[in-house]
Amino acid sequence: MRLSTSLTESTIVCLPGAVPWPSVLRDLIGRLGVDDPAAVGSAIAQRETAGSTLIAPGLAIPHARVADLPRLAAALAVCPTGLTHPSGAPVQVCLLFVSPKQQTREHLAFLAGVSALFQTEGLVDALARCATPADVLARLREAERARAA
Amino acid sequence: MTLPVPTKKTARNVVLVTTAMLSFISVWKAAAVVLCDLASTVYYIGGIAEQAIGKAAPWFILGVMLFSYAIRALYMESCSLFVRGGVYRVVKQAESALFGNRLGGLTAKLSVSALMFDYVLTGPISAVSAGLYLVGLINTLTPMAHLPWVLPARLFATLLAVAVTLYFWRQNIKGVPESSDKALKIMVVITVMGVLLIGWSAVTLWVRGFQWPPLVPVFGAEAWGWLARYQGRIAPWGLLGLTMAFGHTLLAMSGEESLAQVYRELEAPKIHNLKKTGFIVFLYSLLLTSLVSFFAVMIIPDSVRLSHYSNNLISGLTMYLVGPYPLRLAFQAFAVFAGFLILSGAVNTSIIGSNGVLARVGEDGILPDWLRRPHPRFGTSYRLINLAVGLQLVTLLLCRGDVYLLGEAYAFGVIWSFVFKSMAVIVLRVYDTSPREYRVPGNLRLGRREIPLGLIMIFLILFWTAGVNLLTKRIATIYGSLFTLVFFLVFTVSEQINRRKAGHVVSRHAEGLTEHGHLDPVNLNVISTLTPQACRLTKARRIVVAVRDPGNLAHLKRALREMDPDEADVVVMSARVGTGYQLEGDLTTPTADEEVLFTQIIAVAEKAGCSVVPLMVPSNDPFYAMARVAYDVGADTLVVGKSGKCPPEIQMEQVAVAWGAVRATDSRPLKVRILWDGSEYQEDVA
Repeated sequence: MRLSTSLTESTIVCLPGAVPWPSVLRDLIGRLGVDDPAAVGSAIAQRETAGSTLIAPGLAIPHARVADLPRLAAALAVCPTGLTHPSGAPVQVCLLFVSPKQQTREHLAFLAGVSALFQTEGLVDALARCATPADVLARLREAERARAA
Repeated sequence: MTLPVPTKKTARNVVLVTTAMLSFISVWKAAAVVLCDLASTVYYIGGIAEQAIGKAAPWFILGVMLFSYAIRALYMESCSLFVRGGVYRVVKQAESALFGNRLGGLTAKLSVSALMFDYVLTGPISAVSAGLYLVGLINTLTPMAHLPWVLPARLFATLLAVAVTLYFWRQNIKGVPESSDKALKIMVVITVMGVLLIGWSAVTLWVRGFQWPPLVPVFGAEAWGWLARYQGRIAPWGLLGLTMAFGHTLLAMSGEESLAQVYRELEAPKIHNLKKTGFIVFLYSLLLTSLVSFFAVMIIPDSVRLSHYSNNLISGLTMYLVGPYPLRLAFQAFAVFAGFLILSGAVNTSIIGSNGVLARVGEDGILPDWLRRPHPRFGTSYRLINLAVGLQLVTLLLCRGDVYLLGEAYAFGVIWSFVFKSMAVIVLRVYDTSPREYRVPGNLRLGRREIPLGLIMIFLILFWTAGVNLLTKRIATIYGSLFTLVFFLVFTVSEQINRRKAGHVVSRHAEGLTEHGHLDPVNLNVISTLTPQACRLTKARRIVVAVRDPGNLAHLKRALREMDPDEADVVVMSARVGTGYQLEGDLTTPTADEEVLFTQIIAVAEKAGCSVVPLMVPSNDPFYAMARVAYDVGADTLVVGKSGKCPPEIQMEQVAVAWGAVRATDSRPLKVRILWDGSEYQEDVA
């Protein structure tokens, strides 16, 4: 599954300046359109306790597997000045996603796919500089096309 | 759990770990290696034994070959206790059980010193015998070609023996797998020769009729040894007389001890394969050695047998078979060719054996550590091989081609090492009641106690024979004792020096970790680009097993147990995790922890009988390093143990992230298995 197909302009937020980390997560969870945002928030917090989801410099992917979810849902925040992760690391791109508990293989494939995509040199910086969600989507699609070529 | 701030993930130059032993051989190759030593005696045992005990020799050779079945059982039980189940290990364990550390390994050192004496003699006696067979053939052929000269037999045999020894020295420096391949080819040739010889001899006896050799031994003057003055009072058919005769033919069994050496190299399932190997060896040597000895006495006329053919009895046998002379001569040439091959193979086996024994005692710190360093290119313990071959060359020069002298000296070490070993296995039956995969049969249960009658019988026969041999085989007793004493002193002095210099410090981390309680020396070779070729991976599938904690290799054991070694190569990788400068510098020197880990990996692989390729990968992210190795070697499966820091689900996610990072543009899937406590969490990551 391509990341760009999991996102829409409404699930992407471009933050002009630093926002507290919990607020970012709340905002992104709100954009997922899930029935029980509180349960998702709790699952994500629990997952973060078990192990950090900072996977590359400037990139965090808070996520969780949730029961009774029809399909994988994702939301993305970008911030040129960097958000402050609880670990103290600056985060320019925060991709939050949740996937159905029973779909382990798809969950892992999505993780691997995101990881592979962000091997694209300069993608984190490029996304962070985007001013609008449309720009973000365009950049992502461009990177995906380049990788597929 | 919070990880440090992530930096760009790296896994720089991979370090390939090479060691003296990580390749395994099949049942047939193992049997061939043992038989190259054991069955090669057929070429000289008849002549030597008949000189000592007369025409009754074949009956006693048959007795020795039948008794070798019991020795096979003894070795199987000791190997089921220890992968490196040679005499040193077993005797030392028994000594510890009985006396603690009070004797300081005295009995183990003595028994292994004695065994070394025979290993040093096996090469020369085989190589000289090969030379004598060849020179016998040449001297038969030259008059037919109207050539006036006759080759000096012993000089020619000595020179040839030196050449053969040097050839196999080089082969062993290059590595065991190549040598066992050769042993198998040699045994194919010798089988063809043996079948022809036995068949043709049977036809000869059918055509000419025959008489069985006499049962009663007639001892030669030298065979009485220090009992010469009691000749009139010792009945040849009494217990002492029979034991003397048995002792003089015991060298027919020399080579049986190679079973312990090949066990370490035997592929999985090890004990099952050792049973097969032992049976093949027993049956083969029983048929070949016994039958040929009988046929030689029954077919070659008494008038020429010892006077013309004592050093090349099989050549004599071929010349007295029925059939046209040119055909018999051609068969003699083939028999000599086959003999040359198997006797040369025995030289090879003796080098492998002595190297194995020295390596084992070296591991215990009773040889200087520098002797144990692996060859920088081949990974073999080349300095030990040099030592063993050096001693063999000295022996060759001292004996000057006299095969009877070598035969008289022979079997001292074998019989005494068997005595020590049987005694040790009995002791361990009492002190180590842990389950064994194999036990010598003949156990009598009395209530809650078990009396190992079979083992006790074996020990008594061996001990009695060894005692009698001490008195009757003077050359063996004098030179064997001297050699044993010298080696014993070398071991003891080396041990003291090592202790004083603390040159053989066993890491405290190693204590209690390894079955054999030592560190295996390894070479670390940096390879800039990791490819299957660089790691010599040749099989259809590749499995990467990630390890970290030497005390927790259960997942490696299970992976090796469940895999098909013919189908897949196994790469065992560990990450040297660090940042910045920690990943720079000398990568060719293992840390203390890495030495323990590599030793454990080798021990697990040996026990499973599966080859593994150990790798060490400097990296700032262990998951990235695992994925990088799996990707670069083209693995379809990654096996990891359960982390103590996070649940398996999170581990799986971390692997998925790392796999995505390394697979970049392709979508190759990777099966990831997380194993712990009999449980498994498995997923395919695409």
